[in-house]
Amino acid sequence: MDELRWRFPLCSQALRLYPAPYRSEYGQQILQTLADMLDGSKSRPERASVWLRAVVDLPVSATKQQLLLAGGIMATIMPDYVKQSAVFGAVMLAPFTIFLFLDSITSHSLYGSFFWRPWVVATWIVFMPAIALFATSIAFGRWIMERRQRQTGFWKSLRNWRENWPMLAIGVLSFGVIILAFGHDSVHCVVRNPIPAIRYWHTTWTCIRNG
Amino acid sequence: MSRKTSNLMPQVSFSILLALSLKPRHGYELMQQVEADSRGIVKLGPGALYGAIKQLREEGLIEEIDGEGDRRRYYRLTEAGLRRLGAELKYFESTVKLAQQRGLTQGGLIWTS
Repeated sequence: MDELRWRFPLCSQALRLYPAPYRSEYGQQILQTLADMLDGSKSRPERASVWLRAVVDLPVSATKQQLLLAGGIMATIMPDYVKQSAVFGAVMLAPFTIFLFLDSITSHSLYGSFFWRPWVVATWIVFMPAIALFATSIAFGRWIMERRQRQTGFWKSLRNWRENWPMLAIGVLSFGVIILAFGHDSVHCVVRNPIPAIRYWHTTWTCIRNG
Repeated sequence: MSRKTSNLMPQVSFSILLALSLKPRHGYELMQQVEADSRGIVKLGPGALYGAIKQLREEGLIEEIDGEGDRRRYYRLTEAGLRRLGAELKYFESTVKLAQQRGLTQGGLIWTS
C-alpha cells in the first residue's frame, strides 16, 4: 500500500473522497488497478487516456458511494424522528418557496392577492418557518441528548452529518428564511409588501387595526 | 416473459459477471475482459469497477478469493452469480429472438417499411 501511495500521492489523497469503510476495503485495490492500467499502457497517449479516465471516474464513483452510504444510513440507522421532523419542516417551508417562486415568475402579480394580506403573508413567511425551526430544534435536542447518553460529545455529534443532515438542513433553511424576512429592506405594509409588514410589525398592526 | 425493469441487472454488473464466467480475475483483468467482451463499448474506470464489485459482493453474486501471494484481490462467481448470469442471458436470448421475429436484426425497422 505504501509503495502505491508514494507512486500516486494525488490519487491517494483523492481516495479520501470515498467513505472510510469503502476506502479501507477497496482503496488499495483501486490504486493497484490504476497502477496495472498504467503499466499496461504502451504509449504516452494511452497513459494520458488512463489518467483522464481516472480523473473523471474517481470523483464520480466517490460521490456515488457517499450517496449510497448516506442513503443506507438514512434507511437503517437514522432515527425516525429525525426524518419526520425534516419532512414536517419541509412541508412548513413549502408555501414560502411556492409563493415566492410563483410571484417572481408572474412579475409580482401575487402582491395584491389573498396570499399577500398581512396575516396570511405573516403565516407563510414567519410563522410556518418558525414552526419548522421549532420542530427541527426539538428533534435536534433529542438527538443530541441521545448521543450524550452514549458519551458522544456535542461537536462530534454535530459533525456526524450523515445521521442528522435532514433536520439540520431544514433547521438552517427555516432559520435563514426568518432572518431574511426580518432583514429585508423595503417599504411598509400599506403597499402589501410582506417582508416589511412583518419587520415593522407595529406599523403593520396599526395598519390592520385602522383598516 | 414478464419481468420488472428494476430487476434488470445494470450493464456493468452483467459485464462483470460475464467476464468472471471464464475464470477468477483481479480488477485489471476484469476491466480488460469487460472491454474485450463488449468490443470496447464498456470502458470502466477503477472507481466504477470496484463500486460494481462491492454491489455484486453484497448481493452474494461474486466472492473474493485468495490471490496466493499476489497483493491483487481475485474475484469469482458464486453459485448464485452463475444462476443470475444464466437468467440474464435467457432474458437477452428471448429478446433477440423477438427482435428476429420482427425482422429487426436484418436491418429493417418496422416503422420505415
